Amino acid sequence: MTNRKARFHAVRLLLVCLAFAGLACGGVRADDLSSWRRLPVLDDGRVMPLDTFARRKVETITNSQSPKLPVAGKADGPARRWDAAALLLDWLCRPDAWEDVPFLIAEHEEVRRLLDLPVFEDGPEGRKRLKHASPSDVADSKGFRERLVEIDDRRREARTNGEAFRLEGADAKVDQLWQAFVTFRQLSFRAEDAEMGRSRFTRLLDSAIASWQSTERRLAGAVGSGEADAIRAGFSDILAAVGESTRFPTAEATTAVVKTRAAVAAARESAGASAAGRMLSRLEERLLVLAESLYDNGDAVLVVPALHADALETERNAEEDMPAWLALATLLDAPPELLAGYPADLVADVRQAFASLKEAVTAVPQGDVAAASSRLAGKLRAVGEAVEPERRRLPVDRLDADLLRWTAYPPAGSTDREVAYNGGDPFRMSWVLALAGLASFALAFGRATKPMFWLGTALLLAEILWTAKAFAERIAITGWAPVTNMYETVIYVPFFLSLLGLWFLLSPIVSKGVGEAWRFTTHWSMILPRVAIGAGVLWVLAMAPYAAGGRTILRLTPQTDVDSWMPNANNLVVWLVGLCVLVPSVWYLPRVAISAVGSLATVPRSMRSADLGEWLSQAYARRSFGLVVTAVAFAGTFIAWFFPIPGKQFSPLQPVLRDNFWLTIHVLTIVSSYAAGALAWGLGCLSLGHYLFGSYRPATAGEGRGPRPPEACDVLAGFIYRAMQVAVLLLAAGTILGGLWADVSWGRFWGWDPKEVWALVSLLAYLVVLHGRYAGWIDNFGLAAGSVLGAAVIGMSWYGVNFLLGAGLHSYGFGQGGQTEFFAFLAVNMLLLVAAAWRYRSGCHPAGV
Amino acid sequence: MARPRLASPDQPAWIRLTLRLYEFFASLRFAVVLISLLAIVLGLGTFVESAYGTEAVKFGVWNTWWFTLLNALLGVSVFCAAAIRYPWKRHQTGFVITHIGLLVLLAGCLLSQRGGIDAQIPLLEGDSGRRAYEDSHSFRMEVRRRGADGEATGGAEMIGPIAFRSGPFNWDDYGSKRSFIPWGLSPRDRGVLHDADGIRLEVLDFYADSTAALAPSVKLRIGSDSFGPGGGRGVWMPVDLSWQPNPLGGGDVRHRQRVGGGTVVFWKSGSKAETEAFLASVPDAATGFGGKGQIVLVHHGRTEPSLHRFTVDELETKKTIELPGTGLSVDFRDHEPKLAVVRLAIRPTAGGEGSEVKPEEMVLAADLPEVNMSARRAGVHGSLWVDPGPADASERMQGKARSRIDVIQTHDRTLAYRKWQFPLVTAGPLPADGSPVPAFEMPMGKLELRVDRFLSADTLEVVTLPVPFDKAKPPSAKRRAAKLRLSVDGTSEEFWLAGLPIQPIQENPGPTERREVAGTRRIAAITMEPDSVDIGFDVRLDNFERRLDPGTSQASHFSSVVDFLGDSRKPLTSKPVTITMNAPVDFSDPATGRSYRLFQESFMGPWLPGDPLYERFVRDVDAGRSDDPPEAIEASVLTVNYDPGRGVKYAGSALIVAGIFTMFYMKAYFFGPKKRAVQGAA
Repeated sequence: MTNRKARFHAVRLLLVCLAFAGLACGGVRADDLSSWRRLPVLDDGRVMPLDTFARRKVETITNSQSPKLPVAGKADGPARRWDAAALLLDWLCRPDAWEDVPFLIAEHEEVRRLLDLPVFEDGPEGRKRLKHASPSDVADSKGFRERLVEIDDRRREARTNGEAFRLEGADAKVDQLWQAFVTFRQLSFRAEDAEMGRSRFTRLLDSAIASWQSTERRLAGAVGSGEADAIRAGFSDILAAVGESTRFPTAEATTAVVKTRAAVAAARESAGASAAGRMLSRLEERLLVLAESLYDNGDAVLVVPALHADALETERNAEEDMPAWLALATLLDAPPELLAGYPADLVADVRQAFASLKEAVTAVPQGDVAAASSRLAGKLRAVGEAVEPERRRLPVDRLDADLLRWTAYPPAGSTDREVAYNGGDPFRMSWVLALAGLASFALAFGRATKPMFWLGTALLLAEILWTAKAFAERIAITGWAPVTNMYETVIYVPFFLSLLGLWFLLSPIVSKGVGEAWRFTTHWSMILPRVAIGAGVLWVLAMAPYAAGGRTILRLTPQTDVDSWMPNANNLVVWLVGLCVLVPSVWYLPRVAISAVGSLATVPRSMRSADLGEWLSQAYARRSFGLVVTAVAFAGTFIAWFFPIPGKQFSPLQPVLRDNFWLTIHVLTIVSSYAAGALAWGLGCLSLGHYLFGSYRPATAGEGRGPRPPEACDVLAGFIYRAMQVAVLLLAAGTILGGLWADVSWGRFWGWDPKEVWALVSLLAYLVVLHGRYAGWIDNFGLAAGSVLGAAVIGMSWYGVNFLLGAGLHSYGFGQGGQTEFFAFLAVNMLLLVAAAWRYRSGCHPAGV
Repeated sequence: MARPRLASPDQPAWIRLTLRLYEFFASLRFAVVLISLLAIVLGLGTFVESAYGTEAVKFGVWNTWWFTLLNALLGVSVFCAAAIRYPWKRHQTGFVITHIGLLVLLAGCLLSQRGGIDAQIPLLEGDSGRRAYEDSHSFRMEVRRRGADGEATGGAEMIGPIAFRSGPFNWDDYGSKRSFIPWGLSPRDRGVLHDADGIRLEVLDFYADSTAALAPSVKLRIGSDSFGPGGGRGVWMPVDLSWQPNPLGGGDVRHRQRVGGGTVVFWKSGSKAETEAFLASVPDAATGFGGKGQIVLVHHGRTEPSLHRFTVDELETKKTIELPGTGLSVDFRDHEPKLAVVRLAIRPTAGGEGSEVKPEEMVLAADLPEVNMSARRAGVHGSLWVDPGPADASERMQGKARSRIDVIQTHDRTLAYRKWQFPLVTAGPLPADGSPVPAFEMPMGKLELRVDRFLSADTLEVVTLPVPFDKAKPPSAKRRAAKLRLSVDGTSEEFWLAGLPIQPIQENPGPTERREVAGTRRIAAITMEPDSVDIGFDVRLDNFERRLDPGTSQASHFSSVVDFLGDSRKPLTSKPVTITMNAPVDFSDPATGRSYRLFQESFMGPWLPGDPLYERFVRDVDAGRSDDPPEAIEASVLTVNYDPGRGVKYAGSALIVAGIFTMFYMKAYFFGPKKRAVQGAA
């Protein structure tokens, strides 16, 4: 292929890529639901925008965050792509119209058979697989119900036998559909809906009765017998109003619960501040939640803080169903007795606003949903803010101040960021930029080396900046380091790899300038900034409290026994080691910071040097770096964008992972080492490609050997060697930091945990290669092969431990899926390795030589 | 690189040999092979953990002598590689620091492994404890003299703890653990563990997890693989029954159970005659059931067994019926229509009323065959069968049809059954291997009966059964059991002994957890207890705090507020100490000065009112403490850690990192090989 032809193909490829990228980024929604989307709701332990909530629920129900469904009430009509928040709004406004519309996830053939539904539909566009069932399909199906009962029996039997019970195959799909159905029913539950089983009320009633019985036994004369009788009578009234069934009219039940609660309140007042009084006040609280549960059957949209004192206690019973926020349905339907503390006029406003929103949504054509939803959001905000002083006055025994803060109605605009994040999918741009960079570097191998090199470098820099910005957004939302789950590491690795690659690419040009900036930090004028920054570092590392108990990251004094001042020898050494970290940090970090800023001035100045031409040609010679870095970065970011990797959605962090500096440093270091390993792997693959496809150089006269491999291989070997050294440095440091973290939080330095062990195995694998290289047994080809094998080991410790082994203490990262892709990746690597080895052997050692 | 050579031909042979060995250990070849081997073993170890759990991999790999040897060889290699290059050159600084760091780290690990303690204290709120429990078990024996009455008297002599390395699996299972790990290289304590002064303890077998079950008992299943219309589906109802020696006296043992279609009853036959009568005494249509039922009697005398059928009505009318060919007659005593019970008396025909041979009474109950009384002396056994009358499908489902399956353990410890579904009885042996026999016929389909488990025994006893290995089950949830042979002064007994569990409040050991063997002079009582460490001070849990994420049941934070108590039960610290996740606390044993580090590990509970543990707690621990008993109690689990190698490991780690940084900083070793390769290529 001629050079020109190659360039033509490359340009075409670039254009196609950019067009595709444009497609991926396009399609901004005309959004008239933005107030609705930004509405704060409480779910999964945090206040989140309704948009996130809707995505979670819609995915549970339809198996997609933006499903393609018919319109409400028109089950046979044409399907359209629904937005999660819009769909949730529609469900809430007219649940009945959705009764016959198939939208519940039901794709499995066995599930469809149970529901008596066809698997395929023959339409005008040909045969189509059906994926959904309607609520009425599920509600009316006898076969489905029987299957559920049977699964439940098996689960119970397994529990009595003490065996683990796992849902498999069709059972899991039956359960999935059931969860979807229940989630939908719970979301759209309204009190007038007499058909719905009041499971939450029944459960809470049982627990309230149990609580009364245990209270009654301990009242011991603190309360008059008349008052106890009134409570008792109240409970029997509730039971009478409810009857045997789980379906009953709401109004009578509410009245009975409210009456009982009044009786308890009267008894509590006469009991005063005694132990009995406290128990009665707890019971009173439970009865309030019991009454509310007639309007909120659980899993509802919680829109404003609730007035539940128990929800703010420092110690809450994990089994107790005591939500910190109040459901929208309760606010809309509950009588004033249950909403004491909420200004009646504001509640009326909310009701009126919801009614008009409902009207706007259900009207044909739709009314002004934007205005109506924004009005509702405003009214809810008014209620949420009005109730805050009331909430602070709640009679809480031991207030959890953090909890009070977290569950307060958030200030306006606090959810905007997350909504923007959800809508924008900010990491998408990362792979687009990386792909464009890859195309540019590919073209840099043609004739347009210089412009394409610089275009590629610029795109790489853009990718780094863009990813950093997206990470910053994510951190601003979650509040913790971006390496706590698989998804975040899958993005972080390409990010760090890009940084590393950019440094390697540009170091011939910038290293002189950076060196100048570094040396300049010793200048006398820099003393003051260095002292200032050093003091800041010292304060952060050794003085600022960062974790429970006001602990600092590093200790200025050795740890001693409680109430003692004399450290033992072990703690003394640990302290000394800490100082060995602290002192260099305080000394060097200011210099790093200053020289980073100074480089901005010194690097351009150093470019005026006469050596610039030499430096530039050195940099151009490294364009294979650019190619590899952008390729691997594209692969990583694209995988993160394309595959449903666990952790894409925000979720609360495991307790052991919170507030931990060592965790952040340890994981960041280890994951950075994966990036260095990935870089070595990319270079190794490129090198193997040269071995496989390149043209071998003829043998030199002097050394009686066969032909020599392509020249690029020798150059690449040097790069691979360096990337491996970085990987070893980071792996060793990360593994040791992991030991420190384990020592601090688990009590042992090394516990043979699989994640620890595999980090060590990766380290040993690279050490074997480096030592073998040092001994001269491993030639350039061996180095390339070692980098590919090392990547396989890293893949095992990164992905395999969590997804294949599924054992050990790092259990907060377990998941499933991707096995096929992982093994395919390994197989392709091995294939490349074997093929290149064969060519190398036969190329360099032809038969008879 | 320069490979140091020390050995030369002019040295004496032994010096040359030693130096060669030194060179070998210092060689890169040895190091690379060793590192590769270590990496492979480590990788395989994690697969073992994945397949068999943490306990197994510790037993089979990490804590074995061969793995320690591998690490020791690595230490030797690191040492020799550094030592052989002495005196070190400037560019070797990083290399030397790193390798010294590695040696220090390995030494620290060795120190921790030999002298370290990692044990757990489970504490209920308000309770205190000073023993920290480990995962291993030991035997302890209490030996007392035997008094004149045969009971133990006097003070006890303690034997033990006798360490017992048991391994993670049931001992019978090692054969089936096909794996690349040489389990056999990890020692297990099988055989004689203690033999001194007339007391000998021998371990015969071991279950890593077990359950206790009553015997005689059966576990059955009734159902069908295709039940219901249109091919149907598999429906199986489990039936779990044990022999009840006194069926009318109540008790916890369940010997009958209702299932869809009828009742299943289990009892035990005492003799061959009873077993045969059980199978033979079935009704026939020719005799009919009358209004009150058909009596079927079987006589086992010196002659062939004979079968006699007549209705209750007939007997009640005639008062006496002769059993032809047996020389016996049956007298009617009375009949209770509501329970369908008839009382009879068997007497020799010749004697008649008033003879000196006393009539032998029989009781036959139509619906409670397990309480039937036979005339054993006369050799007459029997059954009563009653027409249930018309019943529609729903009544049948409610048991109106009196359909029943009787299962017995026969005299020779097999199973027999008979199915009674009016008007027919099917009787025969019941295969214990799980092959099906016909059970109730329902309108929806025919059911089958299968035996899942049959435990035979002569008297009611508790047997220990192995539980299949489950890697996910934590050691604290497993009930370990060892089969022991304990001999005391020549008297030898074999039995299964269950290990004492690690619980917040120890109950007194039950019968399966403490066994006594009485010799001629002494009585020895043996238990298998978790190993524990006395930390030298009491830890009292004042309060356990568990915070949750708002609106969820996910814990966001947990911590324990504790007091350390001295021997006088006075706090040793000025104020209570808070131990939080990720924030451990150090405290030293006041007697030995050994410093323990206490971590918040996990929690148990909550236990609510009504739970036995809660009630015991309120009675024993919380008694009189407060007028307001807690709504629920929780237990906190603290980890007690003593690590003599901690400082050493930190120092080693610091050296390694410093060494690698130095190598980077000095750019030592880095580009030598590359340059050489490039030069070689040029």
